[in-house]
Amino acid sequence: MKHGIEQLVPLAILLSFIGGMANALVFHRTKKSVGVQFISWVCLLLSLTVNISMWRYLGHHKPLEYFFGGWPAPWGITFYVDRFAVAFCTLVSTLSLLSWTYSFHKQPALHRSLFFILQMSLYGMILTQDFFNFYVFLEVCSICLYGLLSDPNEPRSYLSVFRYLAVNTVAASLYLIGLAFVYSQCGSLNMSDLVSLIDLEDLPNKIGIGLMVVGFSIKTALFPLHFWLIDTYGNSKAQNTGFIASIVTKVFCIFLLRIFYSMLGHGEEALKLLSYLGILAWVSIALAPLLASKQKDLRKILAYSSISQIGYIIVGLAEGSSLGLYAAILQIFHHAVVKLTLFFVADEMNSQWGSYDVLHMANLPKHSKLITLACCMALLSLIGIPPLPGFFVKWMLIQSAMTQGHWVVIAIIAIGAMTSLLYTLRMIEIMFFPHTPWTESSSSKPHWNVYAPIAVALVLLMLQVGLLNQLLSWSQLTRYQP
Amino acid sequence: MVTTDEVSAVNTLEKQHLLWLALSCPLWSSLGILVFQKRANVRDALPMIAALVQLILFFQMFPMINEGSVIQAQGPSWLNGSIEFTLDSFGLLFATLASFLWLLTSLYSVGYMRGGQYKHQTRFAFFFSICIFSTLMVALSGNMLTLFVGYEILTLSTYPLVMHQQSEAATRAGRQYLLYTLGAGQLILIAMIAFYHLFHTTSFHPGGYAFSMYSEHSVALVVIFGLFMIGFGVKAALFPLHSWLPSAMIAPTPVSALLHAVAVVKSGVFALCRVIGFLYGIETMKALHLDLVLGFLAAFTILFASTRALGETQMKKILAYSTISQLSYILLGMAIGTTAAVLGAIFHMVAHAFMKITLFFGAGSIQIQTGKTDIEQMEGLGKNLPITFVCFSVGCLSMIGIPLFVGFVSKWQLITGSLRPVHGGWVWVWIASTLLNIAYFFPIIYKAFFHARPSGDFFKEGSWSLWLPIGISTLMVIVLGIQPDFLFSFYQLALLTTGAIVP
Amino acid sequence: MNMLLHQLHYGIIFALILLGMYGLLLKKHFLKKIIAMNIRQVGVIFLFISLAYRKNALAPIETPGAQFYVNPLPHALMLTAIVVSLATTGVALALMLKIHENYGSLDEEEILEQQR
Repeated sequence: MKHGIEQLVPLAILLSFIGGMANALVFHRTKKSVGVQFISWVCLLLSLTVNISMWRYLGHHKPLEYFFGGWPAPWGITFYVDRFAVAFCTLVSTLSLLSWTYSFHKQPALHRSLFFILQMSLYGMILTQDFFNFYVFLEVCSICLYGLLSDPNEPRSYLSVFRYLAVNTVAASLYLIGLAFVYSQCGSLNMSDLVSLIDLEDLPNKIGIGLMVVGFSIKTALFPLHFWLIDTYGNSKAQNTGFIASIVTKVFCIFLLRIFYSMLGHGEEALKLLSYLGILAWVSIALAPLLASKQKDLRKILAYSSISQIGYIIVGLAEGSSLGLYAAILQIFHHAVVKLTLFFVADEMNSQWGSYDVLHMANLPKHSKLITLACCMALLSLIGIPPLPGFFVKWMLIQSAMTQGHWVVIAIIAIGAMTSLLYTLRMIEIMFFPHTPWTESSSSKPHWNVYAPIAVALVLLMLQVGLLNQLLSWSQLTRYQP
Repeated sequence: MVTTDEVSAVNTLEKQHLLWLALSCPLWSSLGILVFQKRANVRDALPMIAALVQLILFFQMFPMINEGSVIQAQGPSWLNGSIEFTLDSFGLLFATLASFLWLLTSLYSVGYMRGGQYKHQTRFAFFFSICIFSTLMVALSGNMLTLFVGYEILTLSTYPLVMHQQSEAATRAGRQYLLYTLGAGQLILIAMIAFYHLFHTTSFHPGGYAFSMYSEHSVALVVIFGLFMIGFGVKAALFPLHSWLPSAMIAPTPVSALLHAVAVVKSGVFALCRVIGFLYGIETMKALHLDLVLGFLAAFTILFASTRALGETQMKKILAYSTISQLSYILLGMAIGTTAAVLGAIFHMVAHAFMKITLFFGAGSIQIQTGKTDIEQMEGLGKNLPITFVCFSVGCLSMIGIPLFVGFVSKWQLITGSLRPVHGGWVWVWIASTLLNIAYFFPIIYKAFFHARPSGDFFKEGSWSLWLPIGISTLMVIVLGIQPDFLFSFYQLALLTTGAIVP
Repeated sequence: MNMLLHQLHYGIIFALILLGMYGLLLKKHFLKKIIAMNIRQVGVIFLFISLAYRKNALAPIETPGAQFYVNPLPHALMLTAIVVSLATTGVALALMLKIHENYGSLDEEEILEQQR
C-alpha cells in the first residue's frame, strides 16, 4: 500500500489477457486489423517493461505479495513476486516478444490469441502461490498448446495432439490427486502457508508430493515418458513449437524448484524424492541425443535434444546443493534461448525450402550469415564449448556432483556431452561441409522480423554468462520470505 | 617523487596492456580477414603483420620475464572460476615460438594455397588466425580454466582446417579428430574440477601444490592425473590415442605444418607439462610413481611410432609418425624429471617445432611443385629442387640428432639427464629411437640425391613465398644448433622454467 | 468392518480413477478415450468432495442453529475443475472430429495403419 507497486504484479497477466481477447475478437476477418496489431504490440512491450521495472525495484526491496480480492492466504489466491520469479517472468516476456516479432505476420488470428493466453498462463504459473490456481493455469496452458500445436495442413498433428491431450490430462489429474492428499493432511493450498504445515514424514504428504512429481515428470518429458513430446514437436509448425519448447516445459521445472526449494526447504526426504527424478534425468541425458542423431526431421532432432537438455535442469535440481541449483537456473535460461534460436532456424528453413529436412541446413550459410552464426553458437553452447553458457552449466553441475561424491552424475554428464556431439556435429557438418553434392536451392532474403529476433537471441545467449554473478544473490531468494 | 614501487606498478600495468594487445593480435587479424575477404593481397598480408606485431610485443616483455617476474592480467571472473592470464618463462617460450612460426607459415601458406589453387581461402585464413589466438590463450593462461577454454577453441577452430578439402576422407578425418579431442575435453573438465575440489585453485604455480598433501589424497591424485594424461594425451598423441594424427594429415600442408607439428600437438604437451610442473610438481609425480606410468607410455609411443614410420611410404604419414614419437620425447623428458632432462624436454618443444616445420614445408613444396607424395617417387628430385631438398635434409639430420643442428642440443640434454644411475634404462630408448630415425629418414635423402632421375619430367623451384620460409626455418635449425639463445633466447627461457619447476 | 465401510467411497473413487486412466491410455477408440477421460475427472472431483465431508455438517450456507458446516473450499475448487474438464473435453471432441474428417475413422490402430 505504501508504494502501490504491488498493483503491478498481476498487470502482466492482465495485459496478456487483453492481447489475447483483442486478437480473438477479429478471428473471423481475413484482413489484418491494424488496431489489434497495435494493441498486441503495446501489450507485449508493456508487460516486458512491467517485468523489468519490477526486477529493478526488487533489487533493493523486499519481495511483494498480491492478494486477489484482498483475501489473505488460506482463503484467497496470492501471488508472490521475488527477484527470482520476476527473472523468469522477464524471460517469458522477452521470449514472447521475440517469438511474436518472428511470427506475427504469418499466424492466423486464433493462434495469435492463443499465443497471448498461453503467455498469460505462464506468468500465472510462475507467480501463483496457490496449488489449485496453478492447476487452473496449467490447464489453460495445456488447452492453448493443443490449439497452437495442431496444424491444419498436417493431419498427423491432430493425432499427436490428441495423444498429447491424453497424456497431459493424466499428468494433470495425478497432480490433482497428489494435491488432494496434501490438502487432506495440511488443510491449506498456499505454498508459503505449507512451508510450516507440511511434514514429509507423514505418508499421505509423501504420497501427495510423490504423485505431483510423477505428474511433472510426464510434463517435463523425462525419459520413459517423453514419447508425446517427439510426436507433438515433430508434427507442428516450428514457429509455434519454438516458443513452446523453449519455455513451457521450463515452467514446470521452475514449479518443481518452487516446491522443493521454496516450500520443502532442503529436507532430506524431499531430496530423496527429487533424486528418483534425477535418475530418470540421467537416462534422458545419456540416451536422448543418440536417438536425436538418427532423425532426419530437424524438429525431431530438436525435440530429442530438448529432452536431454531438460534432463540437465532436473539433475541440477536433484543435486540439492546451491551449485546444482545455479546450474539448473542457468540451464533454464540457456536452453530457452538456444531452443528458440534453433526452432527459428527450422522454421526459416521450412518457409524457404519447403520442409524441415535437416539436409536443408546446407543452404543456410549461403542464405544468411547471421542465421548461420546464431545456429552455430546455439549448437556449440548445447555441447558445452567453454565461453558459452552451456559450458558453465556443466562446470557447475560437475563441481556440485564432485563435492557431494555423486560420481554417476559426472559420468552421465561426460557421456551426455559425447552423445550430444553426435547430432550437433552432424548438423554443423551439413551446414559447412556438405559432402554429398548438394544442389543449392534458391532463396529469398529473409525479412527484418526474421533477422531481428535471431540477432537478439544471439546477443542474449552471449550475455548469459553474466548471469552467473547474479545467481549468487538469488540462492537465498528462492526461499519464501513472507 | 615517484618511488620505485610505483614505477614498477606503472610498468606492470603497461605490460598488462601489452599482454592483452599481444593476445588479441590474431583476433584483429581474423576480423580483418573477414573485412578484406575480397582483396586477396590485403587479406593474406594481415596475418603476417599481426604476427610481426605480436612478436615485437613479446620481445618487449622478455627482459621482465628474464628477471624472474611474471606479468598477470585478470579477465572476467565468475562464481568460482576466472579467466586469468599469466606470462611466465614457459608461457613466453611457447607464445614466441607460436608467433614466429605463424609468421613463417602465413608466408608459406600464401604460396601454397595459391599455388595449389585451393578453394575457400578466406575461411582457411580466418580459422588459421583463430587457431593461433587459441594457442596463445593456452600459452598465456594463468589457470586451468583459461587453458581449457583456449584448448577447446583450438579444437573447434582446427576442425574446419582439417576438413578443408571436404572430400570423403577429409570429412572422416575431421569427424575422428573432433570426437577424439572433444571427448578428451570432457575428461579434462572432470579432472580440472576434481583438482579444484581438492586444492581450491587451479592457478599454475611453479612446483605445484600437491606435494604436502599427496599421501592423504594419493588415490584421487592418481586418478586425476590419469584423466589429465588421457585428456591431454589425445592432442599430445600418446600411444593408444594417437590415431587421429596420421589421418588428420589430409589437411593442406600449412595446416599440418603449423598446427599438427606445432600448435595443436604442442598445446597438448604444453598443457601436460603445466599439469606436471605447475599443478602436481615433479616430486609429487615421483612420489606417486606416476613418472613410471607416463615414462613407459611415452617410451612405448616413441618406439612404436618410429617403427610405424618405417613401414610408411607416404611422406606426410612418415612425418606424422615422427611427430608422434618426438612429442613423447618431451613427455619422457618430463617424466624422468632431472634438471637436464626437463631442460632438454622443454627445449625440445622449440627444437622439434623448427625441425618439423622445415620438414613439412619441404614435403609441401615437393607436393605442390611435383605432385609427388610417396618417397618411392623422390628419386633424383634433389637435383631439380635443390633448395627444398637441402633444407629437407638439414631437417632430417637435425631430427636424427647430428651435432651443430638444433636437434642435437635437446637430445644431448635429454640423454645426459637420463644418465644418472637411477634412470639408466631410459637411455636405451633414446638410442633405439635415434637408430630408427636414421632408418626412416635416410632413404629419403639418399633417394633424392643419389638416385638417377627417371627421364621425362623436369620440375623447378616454386615461388619465393614457398622457398623463403623453408630457408628461414632451416637457417634457424642451424643457428639455434650453434647458438641456442639466438634472437629469442629460447634456451634462457627453458633454463628459467626448469629452474622454477625442478626441485 | 465399520471402518472399512467408512472408507469404502475412497475405494470406489480410486476404482473410477484407475478405470479412467486405463481407458484413456489403452482403449483404441477415440470416443472411448474421451469418455474414460471424463470418468477419471469425475473420480478426482469425488475425491475432493469427499475430503470436505464432515459428519452431521450442513452445506456452507449460514443457517441459524447449525453447528458444523462442510468445508466449502473443495467445492469451490471442484466447480473450477468441472469447468476445466468441460473445456478439455470440448477440445478433445473437436480434435476427434478433425481426425475423423482427415482419416475417416476413429480407431487408432486403423489410422496408424493408414499412415504406414
